[in-house]
Formats: sequence, structure tokens, C-alpha cells
Amino acid sequence: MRYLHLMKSSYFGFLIFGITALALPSIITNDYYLNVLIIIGIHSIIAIGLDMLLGYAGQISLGHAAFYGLGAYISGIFSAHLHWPPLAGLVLSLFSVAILAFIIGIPTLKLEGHYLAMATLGMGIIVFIFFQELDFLTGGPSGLVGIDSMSLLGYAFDSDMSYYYLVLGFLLATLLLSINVINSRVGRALRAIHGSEVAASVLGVNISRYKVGVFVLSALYAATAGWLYTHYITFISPSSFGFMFSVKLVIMVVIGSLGSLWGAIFGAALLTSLPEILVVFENYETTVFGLILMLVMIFMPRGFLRGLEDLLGKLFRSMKQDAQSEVPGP
Amino acid sequence: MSILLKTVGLSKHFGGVRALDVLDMDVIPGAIQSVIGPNGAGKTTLFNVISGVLAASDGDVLFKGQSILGRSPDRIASLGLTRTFQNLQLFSEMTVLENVMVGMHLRSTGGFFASAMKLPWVLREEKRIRTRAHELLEFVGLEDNDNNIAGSLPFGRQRILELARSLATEPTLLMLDEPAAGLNSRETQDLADLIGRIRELDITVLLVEHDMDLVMEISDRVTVIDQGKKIAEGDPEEVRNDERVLKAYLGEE
Repeated sequence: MRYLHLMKSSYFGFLIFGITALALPSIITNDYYLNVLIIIGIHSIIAIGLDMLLGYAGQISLGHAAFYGLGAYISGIFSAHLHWPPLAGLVLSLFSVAILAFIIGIPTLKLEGHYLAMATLGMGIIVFIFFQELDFLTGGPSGLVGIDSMSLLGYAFDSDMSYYYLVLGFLLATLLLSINVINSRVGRALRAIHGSEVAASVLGVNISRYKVGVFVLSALYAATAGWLYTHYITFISPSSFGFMFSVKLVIMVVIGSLGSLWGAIFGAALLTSLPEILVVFENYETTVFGLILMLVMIFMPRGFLRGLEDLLGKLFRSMKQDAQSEVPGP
Repeated sequence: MSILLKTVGLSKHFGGVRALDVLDMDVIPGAIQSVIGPNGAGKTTLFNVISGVLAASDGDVLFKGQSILGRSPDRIASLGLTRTFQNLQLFSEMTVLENVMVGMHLRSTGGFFASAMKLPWVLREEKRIRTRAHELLEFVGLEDNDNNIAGSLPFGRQRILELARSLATEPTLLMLDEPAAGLNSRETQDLADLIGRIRELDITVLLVEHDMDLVMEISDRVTVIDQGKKIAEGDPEEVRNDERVLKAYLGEE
């Protein structure tokens, strides 16, 4: 019984995930695959934050690519023009994004449903235009070059292997913090807001405070991911942070399973790696990609992870029934 | 006799409809007070305005002597006033225990940072919340359902859960919006017992209810409203024999 409880807890999953991820590079030695894993890790960090906003608190954002982009550009600009160390860039990015998300969040999160979607969409587009038009800072549509590669406290993360572990460290930290928040008073308040705003508020939950809080938190995750991305690729252009990427982030969270951090990671892995795998279909790549997404949503409307859970549950029950029917009657 | 809650000339208009029309009402501490009236009399609107869910058009609401009109529901809740809903508003995806734990929100303080860091005091607080939530489930008789998903409970138990959840806020005044709606006679009797035990906790209960047997059985005081106006107030016996009340319920003649 005690072990069962332990296994069901998120921390057990965290342990298994951590060990697997740490061991992965010893199996995958190919640089290309490692590179894909790094990008999956970066996307997972954003997806986890977005899942807390969308899956737990029930608030949509179609503009999270903007926070990702701001994290990337702020650190990137100070690195390329002034050669600030990446750590200083991170601090500045997080600080600016927190303030921006706070200011945007207060009026925006008063809106609901489609209106919230439209408002965050608008924010994303405005930020995108800044990336494109402020070319003396951002390099404009052709991109920003000359960003320093990652080095922290004198250690240079110049191999893909070392970068993988850096990203993994950030991913595990993000995951752990998120699990803690979700299993706390704050997490319950967020889920309560999702369940019934009016009931949450008459129980004393300050709705707008928690909505803005989780919005800022998810924006900070996205900015951190952007910072990891910018010092990995060392070249960024606005096209990576546009509307389509915001939509892709939402798809990651939805297809993984809303309200499941593992689902968010799974969704990030699927949406990041699938296009790479589907290259074999050449011209039909996008079509097959869309088809797969459609099939998952038709047959697993609650997302992949919950779908799998349902499937396993069914299998388990039918196995139990079979076992019972084999026992001869009294 | 001091007054816990007072509405002064309270009005709420929806377009041309006067759902509340210059309503004056007092709630006396320590009592079980019922608000009754025909359908569309404005009972639920009254609850919505008092709890801060709806804004009033005119008038004032005083709770413990201070005006609470225009405050948000969570600020009103922090003063010790909470409510349940006629159409259940459970957090149906969460467990029964978690629902009650949300009710402890005002009785705990862990924020984003402290929770993310799992600071020792947050862990202690979490333990306290859990223990208290279990106690409350035991108080209402849902202790065996603590790990069930709230939405999967039978309807009657969902109503009781909503009650337990609002008790967790440790209110001074608890407003119950038709708590017996949809309950069978046995469940209604259990509810009556439960409301009696809630009063013993020094919680004043204000309820809107259609089940007249229940109202007459448990109320110390009954307020009758019709078309947004108060038409009678007094103990159950007085109200039962009031001419205006009979007229409102049965029509003229």
C-alpha cells in the first residue's frame, strides 16, 4: 500500500524521468539526435509553464512565443552588442519579462475564453513586430548574429553533450518547482479557478492575483527557455518566435494532456521530433503531421497521456475479468 | 440585540426588472434565518448581491457594521461571509478532500515562492490544512469519500460537500442557497440535523429554501420577500399566518 502511494506520487515519476534523462546520452551518441533532444528540453520548459496556465488554471495564451522570444532577444542583444555574460542576460531577461507579463496580465486576464485568446494573440503579434522592426537592436528579419555561446561561472558549455545536461538541469528544476506548486495551496487555488471562478472567489481566492501570478510564472519559464535557446544556437531571427510557434506550444500542451506536466513534456517531444521524423514523406510532411494530430485528438480527446491511461485502465480491467472468469464457480 | 448583517434599501435592477426593490433586512447573530418567497421573488439575487457576486444598483449592505457593497467576493469571504450555490459549484475534477482544502485558503498563507520551494513552514501548514479538512469531512459524514473525485459523488453528497467546503473558511455567516433542492426526504432530514450542528459552532446561517417543512422546522426567524420587497418577517408561526404571505403564495382571494 505504501509503495503504491509512493508510485502514484509525482515525485516518483520525477525520479524515474530524471534517471532516464540522465542516462539517455549514453545510448544516444549521435550529435543530431542529441541536438533534437536539447530542443525538446527547451520546448518542454515552455510547455510545462503553459500547462500550468492552460491546463491547471484554465487560461489560454496564444502569445507565449513572445515571452520565449523576449528571453532570447534580451539576452541575445546584450550579448551580441555589449558582450554581457549569459548569466547577466538571464537575470535581465527574467526581470523584464516578469514586469511585462505582470503589466500585460492584469488587464488581459480579466477577459475570458475567446477574448483572452485574442488579447494574448495581439500581444504576441506586437512583440513579433518589435523583433522585426527594431533592426538596429535585433538585426531585423534577417536575424541577430554574434551572440556568445553559453558559459556560466567560467565553464563553457561548448559541446552538445554538456549543453544537454545544462538544459536537463533547467528542465528538472522547472519540473520540480512546478510539481511543488501544483501540490500546494497555490495549485489548488489555480485548479479551483479552473473548476468554478465564482466558487473559488466566495471561498476567498483572489482570482486575478492567482491568474496573473501563474501567467507571470509561465512567462518566466518561457523566457528561461528562450535564453537557453539563444546561447545554444547563437543566432536568432523573428520567425522562430511568431504566431505559429505560439499555436504549436498550445498544441503541445493539449495533445500531451491538459493538466498533466508529463503530458506537456510528451507533447513537446512529439511536436518537436515528429517533423524531423516525417522528413521521409518529403512534400507530404505537413499533411502527415496534421493527420497525426487529428487522429490523436479524435481517438484520444483528452490528450495522449490520459488516452494511454484510459487504454491501460481498460486493458487492466478486462484482464482482471478474464482472470475471474477462469476461476471455476462455487 | 446586535445585528450581524443588514441590508439598507438594497435594490438590483436588471433592465426594467426590479429583482430587489428597496429591501431592508436584518440577520441576527447566532440564529438560523430563512428567506422564502415565490419563484422569481429575488432570493438568489439577494444572495448574489450580498456575497459580492453581483453589483447592487442602489442601497447598502452592512456586515459586522461595515459596508461590504462593491467589494469582491474573496474580500467579503475574508471578513467571514461565505455561501453555497443552488446549482452546485463544486470543483468537480478535484477530489473531495481537495475541495475542502480549497476552502481552507483563507486560513493559510503559502504563496507561489514558498510553495515552489517547499519551505518547512509550508509543509507544516499543508499538514494542518489536510488534518482540518479530514475533520470537516468527518463532521459532515463524508470521511469515506475523501479520495473520490467530487464530480463522481451522488448528488446529495455533492451538496453536503459544498457545505463542508464553505465551513472550512470558518465563516461567521454562512449563506445556503436552496441546500435541500434535489434531496430526498431522508437526505433533507440529515441536512436539517447538520444545519443544527453548524449553529452550535457559533455560525449564523442564512438560507434560501423552497422546502417549507424544512424551513419551518429549523428556522428561528423567517423573512418573506416577494417581487424584491420584504413583505413579512418573524418566527415561523407568525409568518405562516401572515395574510400578505398567504396572498403572495396563493394569489388573491
